[in-house]
Amino acid sequence: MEVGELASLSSQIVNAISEVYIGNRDVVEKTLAAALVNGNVLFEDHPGLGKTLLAKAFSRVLGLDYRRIQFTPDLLPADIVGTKVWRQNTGTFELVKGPVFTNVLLADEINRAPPKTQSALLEAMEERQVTIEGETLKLERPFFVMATQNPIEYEGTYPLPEAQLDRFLLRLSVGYPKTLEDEMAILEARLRWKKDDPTVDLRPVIDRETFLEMQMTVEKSVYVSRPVLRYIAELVRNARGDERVEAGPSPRGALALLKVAKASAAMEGRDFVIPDDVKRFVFEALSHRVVIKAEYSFEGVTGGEVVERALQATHVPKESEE
Amino acid sequence: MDRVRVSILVFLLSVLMVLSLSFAYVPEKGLNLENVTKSLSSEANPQKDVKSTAGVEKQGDQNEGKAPPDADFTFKPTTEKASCPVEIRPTDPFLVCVDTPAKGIPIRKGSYWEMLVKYDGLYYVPLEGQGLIKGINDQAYLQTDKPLVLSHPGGEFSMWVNSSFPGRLVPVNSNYLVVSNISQPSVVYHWRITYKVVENTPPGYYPLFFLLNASDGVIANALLTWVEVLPKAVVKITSMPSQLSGNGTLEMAVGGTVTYPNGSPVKGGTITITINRTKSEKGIVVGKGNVVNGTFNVSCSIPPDAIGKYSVVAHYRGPYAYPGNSDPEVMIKRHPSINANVTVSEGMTYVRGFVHYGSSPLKGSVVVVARLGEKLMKIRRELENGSFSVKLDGKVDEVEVAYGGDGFYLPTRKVIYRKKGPLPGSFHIDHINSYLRLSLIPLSLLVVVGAGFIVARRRRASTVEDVLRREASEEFKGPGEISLGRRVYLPGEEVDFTASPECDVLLDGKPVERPIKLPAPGEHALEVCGRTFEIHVLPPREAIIKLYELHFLPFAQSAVYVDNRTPYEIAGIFASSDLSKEAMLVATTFALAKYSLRRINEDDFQRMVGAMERMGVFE
Repeated sequence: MEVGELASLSSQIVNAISEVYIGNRDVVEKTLAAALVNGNVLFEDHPGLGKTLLAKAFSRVLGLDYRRIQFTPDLLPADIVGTKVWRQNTGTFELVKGPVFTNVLLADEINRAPPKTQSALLEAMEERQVTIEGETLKLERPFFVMATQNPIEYEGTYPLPEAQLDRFLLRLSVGYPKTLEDEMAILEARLRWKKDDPTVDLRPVIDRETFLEMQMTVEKSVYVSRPVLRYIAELVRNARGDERVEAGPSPRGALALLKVAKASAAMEGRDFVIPDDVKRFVFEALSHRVVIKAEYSFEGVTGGEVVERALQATHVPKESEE
Repeated sequence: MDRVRVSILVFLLSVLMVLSLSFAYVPEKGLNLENVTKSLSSEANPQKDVKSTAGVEKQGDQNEGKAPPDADFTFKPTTEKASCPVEIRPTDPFLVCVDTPAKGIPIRKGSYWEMLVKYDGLYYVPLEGQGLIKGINDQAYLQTDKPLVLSHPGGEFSMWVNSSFPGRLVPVNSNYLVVSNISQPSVVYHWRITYKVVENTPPGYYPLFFLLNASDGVIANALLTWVEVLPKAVVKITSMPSQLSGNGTLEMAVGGTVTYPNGSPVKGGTITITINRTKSEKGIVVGKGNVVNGTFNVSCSIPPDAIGKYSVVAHYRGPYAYPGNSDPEVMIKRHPSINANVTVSEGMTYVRGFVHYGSSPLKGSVVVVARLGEKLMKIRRELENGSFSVKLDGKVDEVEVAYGGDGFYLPTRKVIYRKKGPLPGSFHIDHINSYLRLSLIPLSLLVVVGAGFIVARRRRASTVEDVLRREASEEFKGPGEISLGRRVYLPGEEVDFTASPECDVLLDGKPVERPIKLPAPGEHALEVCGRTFEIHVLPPREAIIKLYELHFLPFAQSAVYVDNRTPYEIAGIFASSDLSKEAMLVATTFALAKYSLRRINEDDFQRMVGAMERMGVFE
């Protein structure tokens, strides 16, 4: 697949999703970019902003298999990955696969389950495989997790452990509708749909095979120059070197930024990455990987502020190479 | 009773801590002092009508008519009656007696808050209100040298913070004011803090808080200063002469506009025009005027001793926008004088002279043209302290001296001596230039070539007066006056430059004829009139990158900080101008060359050069 064709398909996908997910095209584009590199996405925001709707719409438009898990405090790891059940009639253990065996897994309100259960997803998210009672099973490609969570100050939630946060390629904030017109458009759309779940009417724009081909194109056809690689590395190092940071973005964070920048370039029909691609995703790819020192955290310093400072301090390569 | 008091205090403390935190950590709320002040005063004392001295100012007309706060507005005066020096009202905890100006603010000790004040007077504490505010006079302090700082989006400012007790200072960031550096040079309890105002900061007043984690466990939390962020004035000079010439005081009219970054006019303020030799120097004030509805027209008087190339800077000052300036260039050139005489002794002619402006002798060279019958002689002499002398073999019929001018002085020429009678023909100063250009070839050949040139020129130049008129035109390039626009070329391209024809031109130390075709890729030294330029001859891809680095970035840098911006972000600063198309073409061509593996050819380079020429990137 040529990059130009990928850009055209991406545009169609975004348009189709934007039919039901109204007023925030940027979030749709960023989610698609993550999906194109098999990246897990964490949607973090207040309730009622359409996080679940977005995840459902994505799986339908991409023509992928989709499962949803509602995370609750009593959810167990086996409820996610599956378990082996003793069958009396055959005298054997039979594997009952959990909802993780899908293409798109919506982990709804992931921070409502305790850390042990959240961690059950770790292996699946990173290695695209699960181990059930000693048996390792590969997950079908593509596989990515779209998780939603409400801000942690809400009652009855558990903050995601750092290790799990690091597994999310991007953390996206959906945000409230920006204008009165956006707000109105949502209401008008509801009248037009005449139903609560508009995703049931969504038709796939592509199929699974095409989506895999798109992923392959991003992987193989997009060039990243050394100056851009250096820019990413310096950004991450600057964020890590901030005196307010207890633990900075990991190398996995830098890799995430690299991958999603490639997807961004391809979605715009470019077969090479420019610094703008990196900048576009730097907050979403890095800020959730920054752990702030306690004293600064108390002062309200956020990962986003650290990334902002790193962005200001990092030189964009524009000169001849010596 | 005590338990009741304690309960009230605990309640008040809780409420006020929440208010305080919500102000300090929620940027949108924290930035709007007016809202916060009203909010606090209405919650604490709903009956009271408190007028805010500060508020978020919006760009444009809404800035007008609002006085900026004074330097002491940390506390806000009120006409309330209270028993000073200390009064605490449970129902109105933000009313506090202090001196003018109040420097120290709430100090938190352990689990409760105290107010540290130094002077008397009655004020409201507009924010950071603490449940238990107690006015005490104390030797301890945490203060700064700048109670009010003026800055602009993208700006930077520094301040000192001093305390009388040891500890670790923690400046508190907001989304808009970010600490970019903090140092503690030599003196204990003495910090130098530099803040950066981020680019998208809305205009308004911003509080700066500091925490001091004292070594004895005390935590001082102080609102030490306010930052007034104003949109930066965009000052443009739209009309002024590019060159002035003449002697004595010269008059110059400078007109222009002062706008906000969004293009709306700044209604008032003053404009001061200076002429500056360099950007760093203070400059000479040549005129002052007012800004009316975003425009200004200032009559300027250039003093007699100003000579040469200057930057004309229009400085805006006023309450409506952060000071800005503009700096096009004006060339102020003077007419020099040539004093010379001709003496004949023992069959030899001696020409001696002095070239000067006022009492200042000039540098450079003169060309002496002498005619002996049909024979024309041209001799070039370097001026030594303004003086020159020429010895000619024979008795001349006519002598003329030409000074070619330079960056400071206009070209001039003077007939020193002319024998009465008809002239054999007219001559032109180009003869001299041609002669000089050919000065490297043998003299015998020169005579032949020179004679042929004279014949050719005679048909074009009618009289000496015609020649003189032409020489007075601005097109004349004197020695040392060189214009070299571009310094990056493809192999085989011709170097585009203008310079006095009599200048010697050397490429990599070897004399060359004009036009100069550049050799193989590499760096070359082009020497014209004694000045050396580094010329880069590169294949298309490298040439595009070098062109961008060497020419476009410095050009854009004058408008915006480019270091952390991408090529497309830099192009974005031209988005609202007529040059947006060219800027995008430059960015796209550069991005292809720098970040992609696509093939880059000569056409790409030439398109980029064309776009940059249209933008006026090259000098």
